[in-house]
Amino acid sequence: MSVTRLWIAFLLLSAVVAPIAAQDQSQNPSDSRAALLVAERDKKATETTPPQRGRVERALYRYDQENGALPFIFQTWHGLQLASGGFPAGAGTGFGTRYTHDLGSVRPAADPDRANRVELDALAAYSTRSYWRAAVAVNFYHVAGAPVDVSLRAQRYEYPQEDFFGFGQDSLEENRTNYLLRSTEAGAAARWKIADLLEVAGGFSYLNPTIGTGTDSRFPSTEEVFNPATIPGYQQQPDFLRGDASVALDWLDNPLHPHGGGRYGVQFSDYRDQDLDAFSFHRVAIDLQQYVPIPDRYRTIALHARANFTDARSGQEVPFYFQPTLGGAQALRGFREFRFQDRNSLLLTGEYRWEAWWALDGAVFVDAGTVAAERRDLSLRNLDVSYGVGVRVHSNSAFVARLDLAFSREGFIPLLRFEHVF
Amino acid sequence: MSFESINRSRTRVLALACSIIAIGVWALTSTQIEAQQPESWEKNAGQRSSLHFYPDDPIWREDDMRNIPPVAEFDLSKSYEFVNETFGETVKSHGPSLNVNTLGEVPDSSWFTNRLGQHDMTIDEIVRGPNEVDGPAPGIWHITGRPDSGITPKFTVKDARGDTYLIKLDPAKFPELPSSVEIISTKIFHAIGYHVPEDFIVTFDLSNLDIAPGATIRTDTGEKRSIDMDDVRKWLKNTPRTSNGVIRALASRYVPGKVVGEYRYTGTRPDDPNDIYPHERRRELRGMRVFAAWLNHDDARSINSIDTYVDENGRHYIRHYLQDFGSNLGSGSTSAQQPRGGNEYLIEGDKIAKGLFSFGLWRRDWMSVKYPDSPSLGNIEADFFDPARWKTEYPQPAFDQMDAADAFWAARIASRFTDQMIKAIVETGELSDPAAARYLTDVIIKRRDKVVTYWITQANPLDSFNVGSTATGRELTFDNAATRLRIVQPDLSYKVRWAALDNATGGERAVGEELDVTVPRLAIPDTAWGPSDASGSRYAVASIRTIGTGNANWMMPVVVTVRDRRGTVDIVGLDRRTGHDSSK
Repeated sequence: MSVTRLWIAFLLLSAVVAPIAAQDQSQNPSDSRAALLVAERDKKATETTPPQRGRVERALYRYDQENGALPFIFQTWHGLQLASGGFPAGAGTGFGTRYTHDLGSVRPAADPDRANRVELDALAAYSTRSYWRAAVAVNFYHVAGAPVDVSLRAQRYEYPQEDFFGFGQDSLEENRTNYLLRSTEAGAAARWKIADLLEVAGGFSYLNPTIGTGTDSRFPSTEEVFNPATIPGYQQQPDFLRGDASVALDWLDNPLHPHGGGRYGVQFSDYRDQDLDAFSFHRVAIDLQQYVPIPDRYRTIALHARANFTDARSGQEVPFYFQPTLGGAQALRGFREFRFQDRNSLLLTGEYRWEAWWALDGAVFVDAGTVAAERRDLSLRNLDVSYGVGVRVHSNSAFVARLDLAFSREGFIPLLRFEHVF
Repeated sequence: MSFESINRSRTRVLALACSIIAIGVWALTSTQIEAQQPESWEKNAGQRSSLHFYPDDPIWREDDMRNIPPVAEFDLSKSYEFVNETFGETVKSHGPSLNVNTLGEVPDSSWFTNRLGQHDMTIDEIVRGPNEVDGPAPGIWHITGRPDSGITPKFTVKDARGDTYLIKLDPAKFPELPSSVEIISTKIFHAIGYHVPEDFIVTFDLSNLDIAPGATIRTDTGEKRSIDMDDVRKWLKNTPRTSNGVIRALASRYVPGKVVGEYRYTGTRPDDPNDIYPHERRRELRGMRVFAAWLNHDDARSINSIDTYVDENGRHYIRHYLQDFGSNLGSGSTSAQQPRGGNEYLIEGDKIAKGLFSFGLWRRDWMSVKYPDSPSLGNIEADFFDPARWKTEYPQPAFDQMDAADAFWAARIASRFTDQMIKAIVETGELSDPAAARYLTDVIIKRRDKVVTYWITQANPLDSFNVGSTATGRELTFDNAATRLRIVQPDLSYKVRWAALDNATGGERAVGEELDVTVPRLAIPDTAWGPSDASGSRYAVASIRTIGTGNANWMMPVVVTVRDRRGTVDIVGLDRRTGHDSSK
């Protein structure tokens, strides 16, 4: 039989047998549902592939594995941590590094609440407006197992563009000037939480402030606009010994994101001129906060009153760089930082907050404040007012950031901040 | 041209023709094979007029525990799951559940084991749940590590038997809360049929613990280092103590097998040949929405599942578990449940805008809900709870695909939990305050009643079908689950239409006029039997609508197929038609 005939025979046989074979194959799964499912699983077994992650999933998976970006930003690596520097308002964006280390402990994960924990805390930071600060502290926590913390600290800083507009409520916006403030400070502080609601604190420090020419090229330096002789402390800066004592009653429902309760604090500070016998004074700062839920935590009225009173000893002055100020992100928000300053100040703030979303509150606020050389001149009839709206971003239990749009007789100021207004 | 060449030429033509025929036949038959894959099966399932029953229907055990080769460990990203489910469209397969048998029931499988839904269970069986042991063995527990995942404070221990347990600690301000809700939920989900870990309430103190050699912890910066007792003291420092001064916690025994990741609520696992149904088309995953609403399991998401590659007498396959019920009921794992939980997704753009621009004048209704003032209960209640409006933390694709038939299946199982069972289950939570335990029992009972009442009535609730013999022939009997559960008054009537089914073709021939009946007992007309199929079985179909309630869902027929296998008559098909997606 030729190959061709064999081929024909094979093909003919195929034509006959194929449908039968196919019938057999098609009948197997159709005999029973179980067989059908077996066939489907057999089919998938020939097509299995390992699970794959797409690009976005890969990125987010890695994010999860690294416990997210926030820990990367806020947590420590071998004790090192990113830090903003704790600069005053108007310093620009701060960049810094903080180093903390538990002395006597081989690792940072040791119980932070254990008795007699000793921590070394060091910071170095710089800002986009050339502010810089270096600080070091040794902190003693839960001394002898009591709710007492003690801190020994020293710092040196230079703030080269601090604003000054003149004294009093009638100071002019167009008189904006700036000066340099440099200081070296060392001291100790202690805090004792007497009870759940009550805390007292005290401390002392040695201060070595220096005033210089401001470096903000947009505005003149202070001495170019104002007569330095009329500004207490501009021409001469003695060293100071400062003592502080404070007491606070705190019954906020959640200090990180309060909706109810209050905090009432008083601080007394005494500044003693160590060189010139010209600038010794004391200051009393009263800070009252009250949160009123209406009627529950989803709507809150937040009230804040703050008063600063300074009294110079007979024949002495209060240096301008230690005087209370108003203006900026936390006091009279529709005005610039340090817009008003004098020996005494009064600030009243009311904010209505409502929960727009579990992570977002809306806010409407009114701030009113005044400064005066004499305490009796702190008149409610002389208040400057700012108002505005804002949003507050928070987690379930803690504040994260706020954006305020503040208006005043001097215009509109948007404020993005990562701390509460008070 | 010579004869030989002509002959050869004809031969070649013949060979070519035969080749074409053979290829054509192969192509045709292979198309037929393709046409019998589940795509057509699904089509048939969606168009029940062409139902095709197999001799082995209904299947009660899914053969998805066949031996498969090892699979890779594949963890899901919780961030990706949140983003994808919140902003993406993850459901690729739409339609009714696919993994049900012809009675609409979920067969036993690597996902689910029928328990209370199909069988009676004693209270002892329910209370024992999945437990094969009585908890960690007495003696020293050796700490082996501390998992990075999740927000609950926890660590792992190995007991004297060599079993590994995850010890989950209660938060300081909410003693007993997460541990009690977790164990209560575990018992309920197990009795329903899901695979869950063995959980135990345990008490211990520092003296019960030591550090296993080589035990490490990952620090905040990602570095691994050895665990020491200072760490343990720190973990336990703020953990609430019982009146005896010991620590109470939840011990969750490691599930058998090698963990190979979590499962998604959509698609299938590509490396598991046993996994052939898209997960959003699995009834036990879709219907779980009813149970999740019942127990306020708003954390029912992919990352709270586990897939393990198990070895069962040399046979390896993937078994699918639910886990982490610590934020069920009134618990939020590390705090009380947020009042938003169960009421609103984490992100709902319209509500955010409305909330922001209304200046607080628009309030969500759940903001006014009052919760018990008890730290061991958290934020749980039953009066405001609305099963239809209940939500997970973020969209859950299988839950969103639930239809009325899925919901009926689940609600029917939920209805099988008696008050006594629930009371006994709550007792396993070992709440020290009897008033709190009573409150929780009442809440779970009320919430059960609500989910059952709502979901059982979203479809025509005919149930308990049976075929019996009478003097004149066969009869089909049934009841109405809504009347049986006293949800509606029993004065109902039914419209019934019989048809004869030709199982070979799927064709139906209507028999007689539509009948009005008031008693759920139907004689099967002789004319309703269709022709015998190849296996010698013949089929009769009854379409039954419920009249007299004004409920449009009940006007949708329940289609019951009766099979006569050479004198043995049984129910082979039950199709609960749904007019709409009841989840919406």
